[in-house]
Amino acid sequence: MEREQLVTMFSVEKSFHVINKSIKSHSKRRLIANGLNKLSDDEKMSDDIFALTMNIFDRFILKYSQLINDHHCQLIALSCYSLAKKLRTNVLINNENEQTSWIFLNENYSDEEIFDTEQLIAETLDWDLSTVVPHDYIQLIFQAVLPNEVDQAKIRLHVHILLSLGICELNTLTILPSVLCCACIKAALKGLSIVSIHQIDELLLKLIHCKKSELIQTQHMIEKLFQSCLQEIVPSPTRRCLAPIDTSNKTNTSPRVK
Amino acid sequence: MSRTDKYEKIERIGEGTYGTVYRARSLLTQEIVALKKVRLDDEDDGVPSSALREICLLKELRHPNIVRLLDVIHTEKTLNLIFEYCDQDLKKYFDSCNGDIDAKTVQSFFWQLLQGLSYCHEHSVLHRDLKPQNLLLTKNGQLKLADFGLARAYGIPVKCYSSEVVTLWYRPPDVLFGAKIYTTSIDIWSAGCIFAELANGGKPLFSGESVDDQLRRIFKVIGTPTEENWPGVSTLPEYKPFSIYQPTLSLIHFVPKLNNKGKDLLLRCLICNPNQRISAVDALQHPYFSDIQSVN
Repeated sequence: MEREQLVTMFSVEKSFHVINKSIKSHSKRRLIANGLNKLSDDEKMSDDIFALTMNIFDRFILKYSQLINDHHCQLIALSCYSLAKKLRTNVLINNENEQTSWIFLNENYSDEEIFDTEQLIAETLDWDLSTVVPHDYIQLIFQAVLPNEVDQAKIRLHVHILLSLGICELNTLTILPSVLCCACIKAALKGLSIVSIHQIDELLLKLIHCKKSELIQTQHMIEKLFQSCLQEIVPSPTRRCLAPIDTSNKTNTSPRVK
Repeated sequence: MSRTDKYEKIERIGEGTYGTVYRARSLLTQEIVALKKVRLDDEDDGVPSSALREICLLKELRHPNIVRLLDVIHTEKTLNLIFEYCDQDLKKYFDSCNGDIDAKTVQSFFWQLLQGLSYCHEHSVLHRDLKPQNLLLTKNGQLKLADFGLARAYGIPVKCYSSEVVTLWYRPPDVLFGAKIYTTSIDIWSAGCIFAELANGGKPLFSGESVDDQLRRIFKVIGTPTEENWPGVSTLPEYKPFSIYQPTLSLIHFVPKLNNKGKDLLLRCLICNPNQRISAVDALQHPYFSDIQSVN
């Protein structure tokens, strides 16, 4: 059953060729990503909501031809978040926009603004919003390659952190969600020294049919990013998703690791 | 001519999950269409999530047994979804056929239902709300899956409550016991219930009044599941033990008009353990369909 599900998901997942315009060049992208990560964390949304939000945000920024000022950029981010929640949860939204928008600045956005922007985003992307994200693979890949692993919960936590980090910092649109997920699983296993990497390489490559070089390159990118961020977080982590990775007892903990 | 002026409403034909549905005519092609009108100012949440899901998923699905979404038109206050027009739904068809549907029609409708479902599942979409009201029929006997307002891409663990998914009568035991991860098997159970209903001329198979009543009715017919035949059942979030019913009559006695091959296929759809239910693609290969004459 899991194998069939994986095969179906591989057939519908997408990566995007980003030409000319770099999403990373958008000056506010990092701030937006961190803000949305914190917001979805505060609202106790699962991490796939954050991943889908950034996917929609990045694709919209790529496709939208008009100039976007800071105010508009934050409005777009919140609207992407609202769309992702509608697509993936059954939670009522309850008009909480007024409170949640404080996350970015002391600016508020009305429901009407958010909903108008939702419609602009949906139309600009031709309603192609229901995309597969890396998190969708975690459970299925774990079942396939680590069925008897006792430390699944720990590995899973690290994979989630690495994915959040990657999505905050990298141009993940160009990487297939299955490859990004596997690269983070590999990086987590390596970091935790849990399973023989050689053995896991074989299993993963058999499962996802990507080139070994592509998987290793993505894994290196994630590891490099993690190393550079690790240096940033001492002594006080600004990025919540990173806190659990730090194993020293001295550093702060975030609510996610309690 | 603005985009909304492209269609002229003819008559109101019903209420969908999230809007009024009209029979309408395209002024450009004279084609008759179904226009689903969602008033956005009645909504506290902008575009309703059910409309959003329906649009996003249906745009990706093109199959003769899935209703086509032809256009989406936004105005300031409304969102209009333009669908291909179908004459009636299966529920209305049941009401009109006085409890008797010939065997060839039963076979053809179930074949088409499975064709549409198999296509959805291949495209990673679970319908999650299959019932006769959501199956549309055209004049020439084509059946089409409609109302994807509860549908979603699968493979994703969902924080979800069973009451929000699948109308009670068509809800599988795993969902009734609060299972949180749904797979394609959820739709197969519903399809099996509809198959039995077709075979019985429109009489629902399990018409429970509450979750417990629904489970009891199911178990009385197909037996109460145990850890032996469904490992893990007792760990489901809302599991509770039921009396062990040893069915006095097998399920096949509840569908007397269905031939033996049909009965065998029905048994494979209505298995309590979701992992053992047949897939749509395998069901299409079942000997029950060996003499099918496709409508598509």
